[in-house]
Amino acid sequence: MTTASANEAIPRTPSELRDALMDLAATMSDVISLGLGDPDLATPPHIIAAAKGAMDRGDLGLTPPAGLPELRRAIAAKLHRENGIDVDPMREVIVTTGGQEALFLIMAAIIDPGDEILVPDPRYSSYDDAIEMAGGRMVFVPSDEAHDFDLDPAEVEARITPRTRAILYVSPSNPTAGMVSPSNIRRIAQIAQDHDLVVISDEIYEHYVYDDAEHLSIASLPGMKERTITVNGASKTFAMTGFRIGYVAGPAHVVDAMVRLKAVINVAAPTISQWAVVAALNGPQECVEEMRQTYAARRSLLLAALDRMGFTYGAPRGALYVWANSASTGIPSTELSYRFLTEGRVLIFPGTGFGGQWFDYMRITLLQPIDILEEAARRMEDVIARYRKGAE
Amino acid sequence: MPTSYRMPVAERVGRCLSPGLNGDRRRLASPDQLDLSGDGVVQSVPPHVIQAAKDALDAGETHYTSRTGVPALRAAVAADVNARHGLDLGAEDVVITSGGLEATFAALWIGLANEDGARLVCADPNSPAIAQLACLAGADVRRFSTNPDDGFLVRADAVRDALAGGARMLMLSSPDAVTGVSLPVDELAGIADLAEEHDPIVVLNEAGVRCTYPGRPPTSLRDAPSLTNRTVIVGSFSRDYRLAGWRVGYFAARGEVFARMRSLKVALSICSTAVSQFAALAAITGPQDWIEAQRDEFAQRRAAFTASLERAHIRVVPADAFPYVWVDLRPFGLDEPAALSRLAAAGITPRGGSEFGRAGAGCLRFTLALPPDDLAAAGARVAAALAG
Repeated sequence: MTTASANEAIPRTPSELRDALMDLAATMSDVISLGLGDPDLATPPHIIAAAKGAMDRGDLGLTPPAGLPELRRAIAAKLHRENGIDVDPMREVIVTTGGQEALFLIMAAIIDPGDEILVPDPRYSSYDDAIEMAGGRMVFVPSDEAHDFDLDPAEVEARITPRTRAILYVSPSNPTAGMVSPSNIRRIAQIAQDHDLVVISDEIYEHYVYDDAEHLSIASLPGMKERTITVNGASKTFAMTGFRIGYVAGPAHVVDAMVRLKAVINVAAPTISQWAVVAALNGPQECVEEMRQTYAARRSLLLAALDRMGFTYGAPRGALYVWANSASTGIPSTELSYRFLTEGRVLIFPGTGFGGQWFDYMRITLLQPIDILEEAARRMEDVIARYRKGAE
Repeated sequence: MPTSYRMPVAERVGRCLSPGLNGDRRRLASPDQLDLSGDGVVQSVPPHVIQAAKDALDAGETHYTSRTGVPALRAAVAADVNARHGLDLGAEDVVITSGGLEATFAALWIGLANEDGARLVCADPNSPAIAQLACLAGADVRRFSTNPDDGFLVRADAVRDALAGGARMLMLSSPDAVTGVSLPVDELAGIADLAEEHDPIVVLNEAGVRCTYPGRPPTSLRDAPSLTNRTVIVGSFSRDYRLAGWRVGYFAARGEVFARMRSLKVALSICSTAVSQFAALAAITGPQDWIEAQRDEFAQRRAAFTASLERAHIRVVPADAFPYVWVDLRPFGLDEPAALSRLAAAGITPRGGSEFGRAGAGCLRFTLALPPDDLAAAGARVAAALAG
């Protein structure tokens, strides 16, 4: 298949594009996936033991739609301990079937048709589905490599209209690995208060920050708890994506709306998974720091390889990705992704999977062991070297 | 700067959704009270299913599965559906969901949302969740009535009346999730003809298909082959395999509606819980004797509960599947509030039939949530209370 035909064959809507690449990869052997954001590290044993313990006790029945009271209390304690957010576990917390469902429930609970949501560009494209299903409209706030993909409050404020209902951001960011700096978070908080807006703060990668980066939960700032919906989950922090547990903290009446939605959409999150997350949140936390150090080492390796390839990037301060600028190759990232997959057997999502204009960028995950990551880098370098030689 | 702030809530929430109690379980007034208002799902899971779940955890199945579900589970579901309906679906025609209700949501949303004037036709009585989901999708609901005097049987004539004027979707349920009554075989051909005439998407919810009483075969699309190409089959492992808390369901079909439902499921929750899927795989592919034993057990429970009622000449509506017993109060000269009041005084909590629609008014629904001996005593208390 020629590159041209490959480009024609690959769909261009963000979700379809990623799906098409994953489907293609599934037909191939010996593919190294640096695509999906699924931690490769093992779920810590005390969490597995807790899941088994629930089975042994027979704690298997349906939970309330809002979640196990024990888990809601554990979440509230975590939010107090780690984020400086004080919530009533029985009224201001809901457990969801993964963070993605949390986003859907939030949008359905607060967005009316025609409402505008300010979303950083590039963005995690699952936001598109949740916002569109609620009838909302995304208004993109630009971010760029020169500013390490921080969210500029002035750019946010410039896009506020009478239809703006919320500001949504994820920090650390998927896909850019950038972070919204604490000073900018404070300015965004002020903007939200000045314009009477909701802030949706996706903090799913909060524990994976590097160098001197600092995570700040906007709901902990004065006057922000009542206007903030905080999204988080266990999937990334504890390498347990398959358990499908996310959670949301927000004002009681909004959480109540989400509970009512959850009750008719899929009743409740899986019980075994909820018990596992009780253990994750209440148990030892050293495993999280160990995982962070593992990702940090991989990140160093990958950045060095990208430097050799002539890729650039904004400082990747957090998350499990590098958002790499491949413009120096002269190959649009959709095509480059296809080449990496078919010629190098490395699956990487092109930037256009996270916003149509990002054809010079790729999202590369840190979610392979060091030796496999080294092999992936070698394959990528070979693909680029062959292309450059052919282009001479 | 505003001095006080109340976050806005979308208009759809108040318009479509029932007020909740933040989802927490209701608390009974005293330990002597018998709650026969629940979902009746048995919680004990057979050891081989538990072992399969533990083995999956030990094998590292703690990460995302294939987005549409574990291939072996999809294949097993396809084989099961094929055997029941004479179809030739493959694993690629099945998507595993987070419980059966998520599959129903996906069907209703894809079938009804963003369609001007979309209408859902479904049975009365029905689960309150169905009308709420249709409302969220912006659809109108028209119900075809069933009647306790007629055993809540779905009649093609009633479906015809409801379909008059058109409908985007027809939802059928067999056994019915609320009444436990299966679609009558001799009405299926007529319903299939109506579907041909009006061209709706058909959703066949067969959650509880393994909960039929002994001697009551499940509904099969072999009796209405023209429905197969327009039908999305929705199922659940909750009551069928006692896995309600594990949240595993599925939908099976082909075509554009299926493809769009698959995309919605992935957008909503990426994939379903890995360990739950491996438990479900063991349940559906492993020994089935416990399923047969469950049928016998619930037949005993029903007989035990209804014996006193029938002796008191209280009309019990026939059912094909557990776990519910519907009692028709109307011949007894009692209205629903009065009956509920008497039963509350007697320490029994059922559900009022009107909670499920107009066709359920004048009835009570009891869940067979206790062992036979306890249900026999409960039935006697109910009979005494209603007899006044």
